[in-house]
Amino acid sequence: MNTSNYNHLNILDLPNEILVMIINKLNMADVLYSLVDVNERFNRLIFDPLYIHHLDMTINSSLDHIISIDKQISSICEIILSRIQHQIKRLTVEPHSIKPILSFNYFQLYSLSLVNFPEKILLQYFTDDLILHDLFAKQITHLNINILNKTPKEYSIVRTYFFTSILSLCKRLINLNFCYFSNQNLPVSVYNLPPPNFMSLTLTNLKIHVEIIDDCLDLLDGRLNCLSTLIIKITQISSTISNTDNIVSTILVIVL
Amino acid sequence: MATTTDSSNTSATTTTENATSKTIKIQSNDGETHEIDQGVVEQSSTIKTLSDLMDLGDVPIPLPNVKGSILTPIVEFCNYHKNDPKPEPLDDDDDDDPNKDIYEPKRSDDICEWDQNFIKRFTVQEGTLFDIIMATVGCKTIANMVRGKASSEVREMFNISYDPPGEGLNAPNAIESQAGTVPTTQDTSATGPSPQPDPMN
Repeated sequence: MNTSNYNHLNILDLPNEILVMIINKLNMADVLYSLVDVNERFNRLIFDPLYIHHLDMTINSSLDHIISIDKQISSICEIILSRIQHQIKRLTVEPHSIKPILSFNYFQLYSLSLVNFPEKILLQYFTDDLILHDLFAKQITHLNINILNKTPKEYSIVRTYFFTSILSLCKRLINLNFCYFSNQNLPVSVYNLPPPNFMSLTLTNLKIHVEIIDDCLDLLDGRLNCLSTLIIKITQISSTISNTDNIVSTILVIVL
Repeated sequence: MATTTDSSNTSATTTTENATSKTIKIQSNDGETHEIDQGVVEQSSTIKTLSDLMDLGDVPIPLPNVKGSILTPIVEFCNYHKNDPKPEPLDDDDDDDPNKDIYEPKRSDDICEWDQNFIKRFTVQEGTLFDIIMATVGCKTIANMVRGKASSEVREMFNISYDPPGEGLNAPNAIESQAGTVPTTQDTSATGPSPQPDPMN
């Protein structure tokens, strides 16, 4: 406490607990852009391994930012990421930030969240981006896919392709959340898929949204032979898609 | 100067309601005393703990970190919010709730109108905004002030003097000119900035 000048307290007179509360009110991109290098004390708080290990670059775009998001991301990549990349274990990115963020090497990364990706953009990265391929194949054990689409039904086949491809590509995958938290109706359909269809020898936890009960049964038929927990939304509990009059949404939690 | 203030502006209408509730006295570091009821006590873990542990009778609980000019609005704030529903406990690591949207962005713009008008009375320039943070809330306001600003603008806003690596006194040309005259702890190859004396600590 700066008691010599009590009538004019400075932000640095606040205890660390309060500064951490202020930091926690901000998105991580805001913290990295605005508070890193403010002074040594802020750096110590921000570069704490417990805070920095999850690089969450999602931005609440509904707020009026004074600067553009691109400028903010660019500045973070240019000045800060090289200083923290070795500490990052979990990474959350949106379409606007994935390219510059993935240009760094994250040795310890095991968890990746791809948030608010339209199917077209995700398909483009999935087929063309070698860095993403490498991460999927060699490092990622926890994966969250959150798709944002204006015409969800049109891309059901693409989503199913993503799901099956991810299972075959991610050799170390343990935990997969596939479109489960989306506010949109984004089911996949794995029932009666033509070969080569899905299989995983490592997956233990799966959260997914499927179209019909037969999809659920197929997920449980042994092709995911390490699966221990399945949390699943089912759009239509009946076993035929044609009976659209009986559409109900059901959530099942199955612990095997 | 010791003064006593009846902080219950609505005491006329709430006398019956509070007749049986316990009241205690709190005192600022410059001697200003307030009598507060249990609804206000419940909002401060410090005061609640002290009042639970000690039976002080008529002796006020001292609050050495709080000035009288700040304690009065704090009591006003707590009186206004004493009937608010209790917030749900935060659990950021709760991954087990299948219905929790883990991607919901953090918000700091959800301050109610009364609170926004309340916080406008305190400013960075006079230091009173930090006074009120020391004793109560205001973190969202600071977060909103910081959002979108570059670190140099944040330093200017809060009057913080610090030269990050490669800038100001730590710029390569400045370091070269200081060589042999001023000891430097700066290591430009370090992953983080080297320790700098913190003028405020």
